[in-house]
Amino acid sequence: MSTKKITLLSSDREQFIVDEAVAIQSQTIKNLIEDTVPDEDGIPLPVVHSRILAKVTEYLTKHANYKPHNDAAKEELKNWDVKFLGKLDNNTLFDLILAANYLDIKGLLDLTCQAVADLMKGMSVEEVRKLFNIENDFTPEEEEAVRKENQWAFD
Amino acid sequence: MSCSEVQQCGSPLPDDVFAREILVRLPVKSLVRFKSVCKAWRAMITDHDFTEMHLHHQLQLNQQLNILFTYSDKIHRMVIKSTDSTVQCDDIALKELEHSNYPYPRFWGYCNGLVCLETDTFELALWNPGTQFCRRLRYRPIYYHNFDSISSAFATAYGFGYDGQIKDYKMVAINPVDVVNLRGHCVVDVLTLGDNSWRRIAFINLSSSSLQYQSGKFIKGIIYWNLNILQPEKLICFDIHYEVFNELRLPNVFYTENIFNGRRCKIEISELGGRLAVVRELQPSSSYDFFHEVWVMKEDWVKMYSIDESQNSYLWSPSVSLIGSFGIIEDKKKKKKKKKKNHFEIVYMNNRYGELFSYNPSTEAFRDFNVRVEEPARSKPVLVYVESLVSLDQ
Repeated sequence: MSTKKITLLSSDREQFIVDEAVAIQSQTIKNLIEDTVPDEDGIPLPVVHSRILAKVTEYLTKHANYKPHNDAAKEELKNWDVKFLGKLDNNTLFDLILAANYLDIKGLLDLTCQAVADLMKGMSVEEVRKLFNIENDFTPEEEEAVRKENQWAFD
Repeated sequence: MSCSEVQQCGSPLPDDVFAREILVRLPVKSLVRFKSVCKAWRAMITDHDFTEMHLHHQLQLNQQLNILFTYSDKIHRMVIKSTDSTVQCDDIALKELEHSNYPYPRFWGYCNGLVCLETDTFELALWNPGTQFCRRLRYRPIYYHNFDSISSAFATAYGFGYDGQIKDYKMVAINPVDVVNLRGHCVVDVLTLGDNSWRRIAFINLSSSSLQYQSGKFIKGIIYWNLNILQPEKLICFDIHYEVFNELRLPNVFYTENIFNGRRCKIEISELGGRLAVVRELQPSSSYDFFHEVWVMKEDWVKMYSIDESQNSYLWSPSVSLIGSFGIIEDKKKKKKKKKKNHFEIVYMNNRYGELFSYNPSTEAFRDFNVRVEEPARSKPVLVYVESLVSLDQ
């Protein structure tokens, strides 16, 4: 089996050399390999910073060719995903979602988005504003009205 | 451009990614609460396209069953999940509607997270138990041959569903013309939510002795009723868009073989993973004598599994009701070779003791949720829905 290497180039022009099988889990990279003449430095990914691309390749390397055929292996991969998520701060998590969306990596997108959804699920309105740095643009009267209409959801 | 600079709704993610990938995963309750985060979020969460996307995501997932049943003067809700063995229980109030304690609101049917119900004062309403919004509908016409609205009400068969082609909800009522003898002709009235008015669409000839407050099952554009309980050979089907009736024959063995020496079987229509299913159960004579089988409509009827007293778990006896299922029945046509093995579990209620449990036909394993529906015989009909944000505004 050939282990053709692919070089990925982050927005800050750092090179990441990975097996082709690892790289083509990203639909975007797969298309780039097929459709474009590669840059001599590698495939440019101008919206992904090296800090994030490092995380993406870490995820892809673990998941490449990994076909869990029994429950124990599935469990192991799941635990790895949980650990992988645990090491991320919120901003990295958001950047990773953007990267997974741009690179079209379904598994990573599902994993990271579910993590944010789980985080948000039980949050209060104030906590959500803080998490996303959102300014409350309701007047106190408007906010009172919206809350009153949906009072049960605050219990 | 650094990733964190893309900002519209305040979130560090573009709105479309945020809504499509993250918000769709949130439960209705959180989303209703988050309408007060800021104006942009309120607009995003109440947006019609988002509501549809959220519903579609929840239906695809099908990992949660919201069960409603009425008991005493309250509507109880139980939420059971495929991933979790704890069951959440609460009561929901139906504030907007007047209703006395008995008889309880009757559920006409459900679809897309909406419940169609009628109170004991014949008030008809659409209700979203997820968002707790309720909208009153026009009183339905009662076909008076004999002026007896009560018996007429109980001699009606109902249906409720979504017409995807005109993107509107419809309610259907089938009333016998002759209320006293309950024979022969029936009138069919349809209400479309958009204009909130009733139209008489047809007279049909049914042996209507068993219309008696039957609510049809809405599955993929068709409402199904089993209107002949004594000798079931076929189901009555109603196409919600074209508004025409048809018949669907039940599996041949239902009326050709006589394995029970003439003893009666009960046939119930159900839905499994988005498909029409029928359950055949031998009427219990004792708890040692038990037979239950489930058929699913694919291209034709396919028997999914059967259970008899030899495999009898204490939970099965003497009679059970199929409540719903987790997971989706895959289409064989779809050529997904790498498809994950679907986790499929069917949720039942024991009709005598009210215990909720599930059965996995591929592993033949049971799971007891350790929770009981109070007075299961009186709590029926039980109704299962998917939580949605679907709005009742026009």
